[in-house]
Amino acid sequence: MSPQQTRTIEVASITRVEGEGALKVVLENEKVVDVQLAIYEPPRFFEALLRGRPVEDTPDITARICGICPIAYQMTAVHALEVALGIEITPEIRELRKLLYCGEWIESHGVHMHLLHIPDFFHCHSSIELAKIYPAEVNRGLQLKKIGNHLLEVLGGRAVHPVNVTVGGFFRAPTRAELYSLVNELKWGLDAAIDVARWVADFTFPEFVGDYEMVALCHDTEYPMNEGDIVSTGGLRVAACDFEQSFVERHVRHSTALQAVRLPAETAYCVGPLARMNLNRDKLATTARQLSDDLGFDWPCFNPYASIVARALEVVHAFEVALNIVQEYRGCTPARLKYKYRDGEGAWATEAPRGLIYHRYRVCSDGTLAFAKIVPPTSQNQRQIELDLAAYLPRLLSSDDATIALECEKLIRSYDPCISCATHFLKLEMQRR
Amino acid sequence: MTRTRPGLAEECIRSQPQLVIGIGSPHGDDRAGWAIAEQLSSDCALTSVCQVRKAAVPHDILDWIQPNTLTHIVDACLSDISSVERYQLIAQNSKPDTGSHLLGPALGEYAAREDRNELSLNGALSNLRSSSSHQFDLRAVLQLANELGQLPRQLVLWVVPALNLARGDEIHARTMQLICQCAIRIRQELRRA
Repeated sequence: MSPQQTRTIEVASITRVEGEGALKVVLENEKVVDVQLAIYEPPRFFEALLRGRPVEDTPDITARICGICPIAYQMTAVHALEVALGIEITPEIRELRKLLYCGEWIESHGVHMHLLHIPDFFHCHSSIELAKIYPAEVNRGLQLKKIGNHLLEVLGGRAVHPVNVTVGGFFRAPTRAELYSLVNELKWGLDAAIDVARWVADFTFPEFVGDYEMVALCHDTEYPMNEGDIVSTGGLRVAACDFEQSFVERHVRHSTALQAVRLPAETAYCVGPLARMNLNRDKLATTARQLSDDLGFDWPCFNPYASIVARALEVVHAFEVALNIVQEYRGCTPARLKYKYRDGEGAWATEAPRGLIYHRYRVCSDGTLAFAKIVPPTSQNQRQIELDLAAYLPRLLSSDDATIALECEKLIRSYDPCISCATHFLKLEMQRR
Repeated sequence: MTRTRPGLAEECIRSQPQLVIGIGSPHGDDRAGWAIAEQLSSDCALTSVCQVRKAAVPHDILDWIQPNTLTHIVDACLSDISSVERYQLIAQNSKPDTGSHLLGPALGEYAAREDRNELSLNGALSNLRSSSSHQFDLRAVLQLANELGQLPRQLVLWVVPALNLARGDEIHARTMQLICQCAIRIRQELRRA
């Protein structure tokens, strides 16, 4: 009998992801025995920080969780708090919130595709290398990102941690002229986003199909952003406020981030653009829906690398929705609804660029928060990423450690993880025994 | 007859477009870039002729930089330097290549070392943050801008040494002094430009 051989592969710091994490892979006699996605950023304790603070502080504090997707935190927070306080927003506020979310999807997806993910498909180590080959395409992506940020500035007050969102609506509604000034760049963006979607749909994707339960919001009439039931490819359908009946977060020794699993069997699941597309493609806006047919792509799709196609289609959708809202806008009065404090509890889920995000708050009659719970998308995807790596690694084992590490990173990047959000990402360590 | 000295707006309006970008986060001394941008933003005469922006992630600057805009970028860094360092990068030819054409003399009096008479882009940036959101740091952002022909032909980098980057902390008193000094210095340069 040959002696037991151990091989250890480490990625000490995963690149081109948001935040800091590591990957450890243990092989025994060239069989994968353990994969650990370790998030080692320190815990940030935002939920504890919120306790005792005025409910009005919540949107601005939770926005600080992430510099890339602050709107996701703001939107989920205000909706949950409005449930707790018995506030029903007007259709005009609802449309402006959707418009704001469009800005974040455009900006976040634009950055992830062009600066982080697309280089992988051309064997480039960075977007700088990609820009040598495809300067016009990289420039186009940066223009899309810029338009998303501009939308956030106009509606949110600023692109970085916007300040215009509040419980009950907005501190200030934009004028018709302010929104209408965006029309030309949104029209340009829609055309450019269609070109991006056609480009990425032609990429060659590694052959890898996962055995996933995909989870996303589902709205009766719209592609989900701010509201909907929670549904899955496994047949789940629950109200968003009942998230905790079907999902639970668990501590794992190797990570400072919690890992969410599906109840009752505590199985892995995944959220994000691919899940949304698989569960809601029929509700895409007209142009995006038609484009999703024209691309010749097979839906539903369970190849994580193809998430970039879903992401690109969502950018088309976001531009189309944004353009419609801007062109139909007739003002929003009142911009902010009045409310009274009361004891109450509210939970809500929205769709962050990276996937479903859930918040629950308990408020007191003095207007302070007694409890806060925040479940970001990356903590929900972590376990599934580990399982994907364990399933994908056997085909790589004849490669050298550097190649294995690189391929692992590519798979991880297809999820667009946001580690800073979850700490509440990557160094690869591989042990071959 | 007494001739009135031109105001800042009048002085600046004669010159090329100017942009100041402060990169930062809410955490401790990493707020330095934002704090300097805020100080400069409060100067109405300045903001009428110079755009001042705050960035949370370095790639945000790609939204604003242009080749013909004199651009100042301020960022905090953890290093052994004790005072604000200033690097001026001047494009020496108009054809972007790998960034090697970007050389510039170390003009700032804040320069602590004497071995920076000429610095390559990479050399200057090595003192800045080596990692940031998506590991897409300021160096990578400027290299990408250079590759795309968007890098400002005149770029000034201001590096503020950070003592404490702990999450949620206030700016350290010593760093606050350096921030004020740096804001004054940038204001003077904008006035001279």
